[in-house]
Amino acid sequence: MTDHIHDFDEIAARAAADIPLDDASCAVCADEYRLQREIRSLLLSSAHPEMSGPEIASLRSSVFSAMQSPKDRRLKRWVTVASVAAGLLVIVGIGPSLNRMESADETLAAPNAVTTAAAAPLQADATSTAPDQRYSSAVGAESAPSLPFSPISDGGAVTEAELIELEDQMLVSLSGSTMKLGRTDYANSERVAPPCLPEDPVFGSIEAELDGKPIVSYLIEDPAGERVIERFDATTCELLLSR
Amino acid sequence: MNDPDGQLIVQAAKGDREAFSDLMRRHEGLVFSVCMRMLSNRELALDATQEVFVTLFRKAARFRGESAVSTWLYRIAVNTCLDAMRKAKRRPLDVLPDHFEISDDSAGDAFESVELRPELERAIQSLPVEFRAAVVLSDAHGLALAEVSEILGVPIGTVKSRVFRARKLLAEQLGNLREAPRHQTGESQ
Repeated sequence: MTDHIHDFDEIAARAAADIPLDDASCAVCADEYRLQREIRSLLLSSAHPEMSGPEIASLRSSVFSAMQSPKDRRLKRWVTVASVAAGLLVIVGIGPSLNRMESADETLAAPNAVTTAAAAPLQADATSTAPDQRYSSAVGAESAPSLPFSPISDGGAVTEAELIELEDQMLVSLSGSTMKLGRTDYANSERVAPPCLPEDPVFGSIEAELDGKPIVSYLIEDPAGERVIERFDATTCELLLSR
Repeated sequence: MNDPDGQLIVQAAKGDREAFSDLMRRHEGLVFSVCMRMLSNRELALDATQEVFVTLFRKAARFRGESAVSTWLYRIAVNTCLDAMRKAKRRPLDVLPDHFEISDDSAGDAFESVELRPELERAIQSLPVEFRAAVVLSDAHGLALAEVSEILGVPIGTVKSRVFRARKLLAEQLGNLREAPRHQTGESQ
């Protein structure tokens, strides 16, 4: 007689698939099989938790709102950023210098800069080279006044809401940037590269303290080519959020 | 493509919100059920369900069709719940209360086992998380072990072992069913 082995994993699988035991003569196996089937049957027969009607409505509304909000937020932020930038141009009187940069277009002379504020969103799109310019000056002099957002930023102590706001600013402001940050760039900005630097291309970073813990958020380009925010616990490098 | 879910996800990936809405309608109940059983907290489960569908929408274009949409969705749901549990550990005051909010109306269905539900849910919640995920998918949702293996990303042998041990632990929690018929367990409540 060969030694019998109680193969409990196989018993579990057979119970799951309603397949009887090959050899039910072993009392231990038969007993385990019965127990496994009883528990499975109990679970299968238990009613599934369900959402109420209002919960379903709320869920659908929240999901569709979350799906729409990134675009809306981006658009709103572009309007804000462009309006502020246009206002600064007027106040600081940079209009003439813009005119020099684009000397072929006489219509960009200083007096007309006021009217460009009204076309702020269009202007923001038209200055699509801006992210790289912003990047260059950000690395060289982080507090350049015309920067909507520095690619390398220190958020200090922030609340969750403030951090999300900063991350959104980074996402929007640097969404068109093609300049990737590397460790050298952090060195150029007189900062040590923050921890948890991802393998993916990085376009911006925010170091901050959230609930007393150091965190770092990166604007990266994922393998699908999508710009996403990844937030890490700066101490453990645990990924806290990806969106 | 005969799989209606497959067609819907392809359309959703192109930005068709109606297709996404249909997809959501087809699966929101099951996703919530998984989240509820994994998290045992209605608010957390609702949040997780929302996050699952937002993730689904954002990643729809990455769906390769190598597995069923439902398998992919279950995987997102389990991972979202695991994330929620990890976050909960960091904020212990917010989460996983000692009591269970099993307030759904479906509990009124005429299943014999319903009498056991609070005890059953408590027993499920007491399982180590990896055992819980395996047994919820296999036994509460009736998925084949091969599909559970795909969802959890572990070998099928591991799934068998987890399911076996989870059932053993549940049996211990619920009392010895071989000696105590269900109605006796129900009377103890």
